[in-house]
Amino acid sequence: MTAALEIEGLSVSFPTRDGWVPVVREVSLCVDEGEIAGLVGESGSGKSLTAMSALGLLPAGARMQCERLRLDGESVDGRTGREMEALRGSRIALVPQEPMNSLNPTMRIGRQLELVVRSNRRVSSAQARDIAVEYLERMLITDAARVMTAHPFELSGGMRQRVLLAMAFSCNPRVLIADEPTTALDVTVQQEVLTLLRESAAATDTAVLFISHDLAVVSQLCDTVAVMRAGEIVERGETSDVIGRPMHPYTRALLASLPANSPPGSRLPIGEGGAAADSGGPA
Amino acid sequence: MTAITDQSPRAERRRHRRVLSGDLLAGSLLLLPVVIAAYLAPLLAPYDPYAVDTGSRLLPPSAKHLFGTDELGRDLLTRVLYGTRASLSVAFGIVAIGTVFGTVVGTLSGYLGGRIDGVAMRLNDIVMAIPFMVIALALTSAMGPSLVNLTIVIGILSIPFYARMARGMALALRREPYVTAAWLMGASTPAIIRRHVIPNMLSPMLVLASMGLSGAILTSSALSFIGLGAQPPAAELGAIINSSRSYILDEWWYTLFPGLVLAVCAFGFNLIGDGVRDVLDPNIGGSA
Amino acid sequence: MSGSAADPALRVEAVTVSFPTTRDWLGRVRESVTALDGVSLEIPAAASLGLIGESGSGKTTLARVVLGMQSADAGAVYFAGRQLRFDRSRAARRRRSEYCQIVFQDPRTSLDPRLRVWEIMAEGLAIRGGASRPALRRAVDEMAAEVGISARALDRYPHELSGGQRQRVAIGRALLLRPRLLILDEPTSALDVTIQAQVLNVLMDLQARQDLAYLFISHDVSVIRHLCDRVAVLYRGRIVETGRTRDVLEHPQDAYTRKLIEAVPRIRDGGQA
Repeated sequence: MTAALEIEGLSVSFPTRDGWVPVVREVSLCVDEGEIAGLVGESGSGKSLTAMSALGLLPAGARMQCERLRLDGESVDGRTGREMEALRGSRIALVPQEPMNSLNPTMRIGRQLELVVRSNRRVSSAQARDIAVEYLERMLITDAARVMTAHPFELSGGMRQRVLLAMAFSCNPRVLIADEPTTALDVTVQQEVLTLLRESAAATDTAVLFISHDLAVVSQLCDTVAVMRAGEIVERGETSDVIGRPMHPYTRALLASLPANSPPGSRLPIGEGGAAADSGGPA
Repeated sequence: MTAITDQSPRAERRRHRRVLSGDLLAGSLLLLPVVIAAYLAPLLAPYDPYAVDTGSRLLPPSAKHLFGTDELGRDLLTRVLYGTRASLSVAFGIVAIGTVFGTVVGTLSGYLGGRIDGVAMRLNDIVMAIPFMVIALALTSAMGPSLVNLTIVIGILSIPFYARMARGMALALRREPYVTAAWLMGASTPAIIRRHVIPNMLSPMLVLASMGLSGAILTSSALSFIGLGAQPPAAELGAIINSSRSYILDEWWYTLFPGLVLAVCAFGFNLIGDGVRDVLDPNIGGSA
Repeated sequence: MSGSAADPALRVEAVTVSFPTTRDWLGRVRESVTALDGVSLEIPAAASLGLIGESGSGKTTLARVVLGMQSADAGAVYFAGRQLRFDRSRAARRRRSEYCQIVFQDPRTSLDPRLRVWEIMAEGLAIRGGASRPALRRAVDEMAAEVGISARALDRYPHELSGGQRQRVAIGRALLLRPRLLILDEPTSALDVTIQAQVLNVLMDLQARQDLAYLFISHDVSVIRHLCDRVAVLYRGRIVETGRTRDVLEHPQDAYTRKLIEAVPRIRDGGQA
């Protein structure tokens, strides 16, 4: 089983008035072909930034250092922006959190999909559109033809997320980064989108790095999970192990604070969390 | 790449921390000496701006007259100092009138909506539709050219611009949950506008005002240049430049110094405007 | 405040709200969409009702009707037995705010960024006038202790506080007017799970100490299960199921409710399919 995505010793820092602040510290992780790996953490844990490093999409000003960054066995650390652009889409793709912000509101869906396909595959405009329709249908969009001519605002949140999934899968990436793709969706829609994600990834043996703060979703979807806190991975392993027999106190605190794990009406345990003492002044 | 939102309190404090901006610093360094010197003119100026000395006509810059003299022998440095004071006062006056009345009109229009908004905006449109120079010329000629009238006329003509901006902001603020919370608790409309709407508009308005100063000083100088502002022998940068027209080829100092000061003022206000925006609204153009 | 202690904190009776979508050239309504269709629910004093609804269900409209922000085409709303009609006047709003307050979802926008925390909390009392600044501050200090906000934090600005602290400020602000009913609109959805736990604990403590009823709107079934004795499921403007939380969640009768509950991701710690 070859590792589709390999990150080793990744550190990301941001410049502030008080000097460089590390937001990701020496993080290493590895996702195999066909594996769905979860990356769980609260806000500020650095999980999104870790994933964005793999895409080469860190915010301006961020400094990234890593020992090794490999996509499909090929080393990509130190690649320039232009070089990463060639890889994005075709080797590694992103399904982002806010579908409304990720689709151009003034462009029809068909055209947006066409542009994505053509920037990653050498096909004609008509072929690109056919590919787009094919992927929309794979994402269970029944009236794909109508969706192709629609604008993003005409579609529901769930539909838009399916369009983004189609966009991500249309160029057969080896690695897919899903950054909280269902956080903004209703629960019933979330279920459909997650099922689609799992089935599409399985069909193409794509490696998925699934970022979320929702432990329940991760426990259902992911084969392995890594728990991040304050820039570091504190625990990792097979999902059933980490969720069922958590070893690190932080993981235990996270799981214990879930209402589902306490009897109804009881006080929820608030041990050491991501922001330890939240009753006093600023964290 | 704006999708990453780090919501931890540390990140938010980082975003609010920018106190100094390069533009603000540069603009202030440029402008502060000029403004201070201009308003201290009575103390700093070596001569009387109206003192005519026909023996010293059109002298080039020297130790005795740092900027040289004009065609009536008046010291140019003195004239420029007093002239800058006049130009700056007009510019501040214009922006003051524009922002104060514009904010009031725009806020009421945006927050209250309905017929008030309709009427106010149609009046706005009418004023904005008439070519600015045409109406400025017409009004100042009718009222009699003077710096005070110039300030009033341009000030009033700039109200629609600020009103538009204030209205947009009031419309957005009206929807903020904290405004809804105050409304639900039974606050009166004037109280809400005073406590929640206007204070949250101050920063953007300050940015607009800073940038408006730049345009104001240029516009007022332009109108004085064609004779609609300060009347001789009063000193004002545009008027001085106007007087220097006939002498521009040989007596270069006469046009250069007032022109340079005017340019420095306009540029300085621009930089300060950009700098104020950098400090007060760090979300634009920069993340983490 | 009139109404005996036995009256329900909130009673919504057959509320119907529709919005016009198209008008003809004369301005008459041609088509409209029904946001709420004969919705009724009841929350006994000091009890909590969870309201589950996805987007488009009408839950926001329902909250707005209860708060007096939206008029209903039909139906009535009663607080502690007393009907309050739709009235946007200041006096009516003040009266209603003593029965019912709301805590919004996003702690970043529900507090005025230009005011200090204690001023934000004191606003409800300050509006009513009559109290001196020290008296207001004392009232705020007491409430801050109840919701777990330190005295230091009271002098700060909202952006200096964390999301969990801000939500507690919002709760404190709402409770200073001593309403009998608190509407909570997804109050913990924007918070981390550990912070959510703290806020939920605060809510449970407050309810144990005061005569306080909750209308808890959320899409998170596990939170509702934990906090609310009763639950109502809203779908396309209609209450499709209501009852005791455990009954509804374990033995849902309605098809939509069943679909909803089945879609909720559950922690699987014994391996997955």
